[in-house]
Amino acid sequence: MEDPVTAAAMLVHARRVQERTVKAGPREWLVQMAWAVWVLVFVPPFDFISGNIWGPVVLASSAAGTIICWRYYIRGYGRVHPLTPKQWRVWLWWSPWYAAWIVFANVFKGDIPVAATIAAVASAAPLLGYALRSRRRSARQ
Amino acid sequence: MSHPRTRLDDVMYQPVRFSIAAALAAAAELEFSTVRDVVEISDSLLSQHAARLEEAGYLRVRKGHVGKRPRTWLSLTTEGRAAFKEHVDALRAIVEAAPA
Repeated sequence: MEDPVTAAAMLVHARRVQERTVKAGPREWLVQMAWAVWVLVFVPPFDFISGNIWGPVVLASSAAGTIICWRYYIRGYGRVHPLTPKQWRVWLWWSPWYAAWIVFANVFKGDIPVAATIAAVASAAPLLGYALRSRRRSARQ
Repeated sequence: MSHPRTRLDDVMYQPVRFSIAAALAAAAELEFSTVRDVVEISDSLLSQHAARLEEAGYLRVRKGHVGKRPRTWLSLTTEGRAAFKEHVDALRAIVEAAPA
C-alpha cells in the first residue's frame, strides 16, 4: 500500500467506523440534558401549585425518568463500553448542588414568591452547561 | 530512512481486519453485533477475521449473558491497540510523504 490515495481513504474509512462506534453507545450528555430539562419543567410549578398536589406528580415522573435512564444505560453499555471514563462523577457534584437549592426553595418559599423557579434555574444551569459541553466534545471526536 | 510502508502491520493490512480494529480502538469493549453493524459485514466474516486477530494476539473475546441471552464482547489487547496505532501512523506517514 504505497499509494497515498489508498492510505488516505483507509484513514477516512477508519474515522467513519469509529464515529459509528461512538454513536452506537450511550450518550451521557443526553441523559444529563434530560434531567436538567426535567428540573426546569417540574420544579417551578411548586411556586404556584400546592406541594400535596404537585409532589406526587414530581415523584412519579422522577421514578419514570430513573427507570428510563437505567434501561438506556443497560442497553447502551451492553453494546459499547466506552473508552472514556463514565461521566457518573457529574452526579456526585450536581446532586448535592440540586439538593441545596431545593432546601433553599423550601426555606424561602414564604419570603420569595418564585423561590422554586430560582432553585430550578440555578440548579439546572450547570448541568445543562455540562451536557452541552459534553455534546460538543462528542461531536468533535 | 525506510519507507513508511515497512511499518504497516501484516495482520491489519487486510481491509476488513483494519475496519474491525478501527471500531474496537474507539471503545474499551464492543458487543459482537455492534462490531458487525458498524463495520457492515456478516456474522461469519466477522467471526473469521476476529479469529485471525485473536490468533495474532490483537483481540480478546469475552463471552457472557445479558439476561438469558448469550453475548460475546470483543476488545483489542494492548498489543492490538499498539499495532493499530502503528498501522495508522504508517498510513499517515505514507499520505504525508506523498508529493503535493
